[in-house]
Amino acid sequence: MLKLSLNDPQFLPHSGCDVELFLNEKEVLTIIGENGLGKSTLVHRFYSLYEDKMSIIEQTPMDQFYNRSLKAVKSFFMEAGKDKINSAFFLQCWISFGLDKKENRMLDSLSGGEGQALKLCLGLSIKAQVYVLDEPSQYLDESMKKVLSDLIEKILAMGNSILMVEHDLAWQKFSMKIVELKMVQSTLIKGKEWTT
Amino acid sequence: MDYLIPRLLSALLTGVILSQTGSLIQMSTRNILASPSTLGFDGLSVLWILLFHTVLLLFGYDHPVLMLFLIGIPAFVIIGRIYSGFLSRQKNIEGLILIGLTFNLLVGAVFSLWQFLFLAFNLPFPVELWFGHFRFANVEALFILIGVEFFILLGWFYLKKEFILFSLGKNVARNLKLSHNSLFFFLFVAVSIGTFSVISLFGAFSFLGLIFPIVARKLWFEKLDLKGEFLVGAVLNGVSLMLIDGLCYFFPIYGAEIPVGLIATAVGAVSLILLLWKANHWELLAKVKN
Repeated sequence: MLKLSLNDPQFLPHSGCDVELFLNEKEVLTIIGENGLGKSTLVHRFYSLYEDKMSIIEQTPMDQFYNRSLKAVKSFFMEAGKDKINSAFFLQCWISFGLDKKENRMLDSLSGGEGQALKLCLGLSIKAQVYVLDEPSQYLDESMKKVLSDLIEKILAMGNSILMVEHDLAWQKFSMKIVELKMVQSTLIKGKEWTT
Repeated sequence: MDYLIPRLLSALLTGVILSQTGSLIQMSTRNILASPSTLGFDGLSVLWILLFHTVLLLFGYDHPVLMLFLIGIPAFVIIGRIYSGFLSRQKNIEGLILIGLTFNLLVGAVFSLWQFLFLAFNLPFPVELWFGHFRFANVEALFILIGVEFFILLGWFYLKKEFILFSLGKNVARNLKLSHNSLFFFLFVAVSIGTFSVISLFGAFSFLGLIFPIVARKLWFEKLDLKGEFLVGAVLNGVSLMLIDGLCYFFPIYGAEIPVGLIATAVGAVSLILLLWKANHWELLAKVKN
């Protein structure tokens, strides 16, 4: 079990934070709460604190500087990061999302969903104990969402855990634990918790 | 020939160093407006040389170039270190570029005021520092440039893997537990020393550090990517600068040599405009066809 704890009176410019979460092995913990509360900031802070155990897939698009082809991204990632990634799982993600058929496409020509699929491939194949997914299903079509849920199941089967921020009810059903965050007297705290 | 070979090789290496330092800065900040000139490295070097020149006039010294480097290089290693720490905490690079450009304006004003005071007191002033030229190139200067280039290449080969991973995106690099600190440290020390060496030896080459990497990227980005830009593209830029310097040397106007820095900046600026216009033109055509 991993204890994720953050107590910071200056968490955001307008609020503090006092949250403690427990994440078990092979568990999906989903954080919910209204927009602008600081959910993404909180998972980022957790990532900063437990960086050596985690891999994060952010909400924002990848900050690619070079307009490469997908093929080039794949070869650079596999070659330069080979000690730190699970190559077999990366290829599995790559094929499952159908990126193998789009390898000649340049990065600036990818749609929102394709870009999200690329981010997921790169983030999920990095060796880690906990995968932090900040709204992972954004931009994805229904078939890609199915692929993502299958990949999450595989990650759990490998003994890893997932910390997720997600508004979509369908994904909340997929979670084993749901934690609601709320703001009380300018402090972000843990509200209700459901175990499914 | 004893004069011409070191001079042309100095021009070549200057082009390579400016192109590489520009590439390193633009890739790490992910902003094509970032360069040694727009981030204030040029301004710092010019200020340093002005100070050095003034001290030299007041106290006198037999080996100015050696002295300039003995004091200057450790100072610029420290500046690079401070800058790298500062930049790794910045989220908004545009703000930093604005500060750099404002600082350059300040240095321009200080330079002019300094020049005015020197002229008023009838003292010799290094006016040519502002133009960029290789007229005073010699073997000593060439060896300094070779040393700087060796340092940049050594860092590149040692940190090549990190650069490739970092170029995939900050998030990917962070997930792969890449050490930004060592990367940025090398990068900004290399940029500080590279810029300082070129400016103190041959003057301010204005925006070449901004233009060269963009030109190299436009030529090589698809097939050879970062490696092509850093190695092949930089050498091509160096050869271009060398050829322009050769033209300036062999074709003086009424016995006066045109400063190569100004000509190279003008040629580079026109090439960049053409390249960008062409890229934009094809993009627009593709949109119309679709």
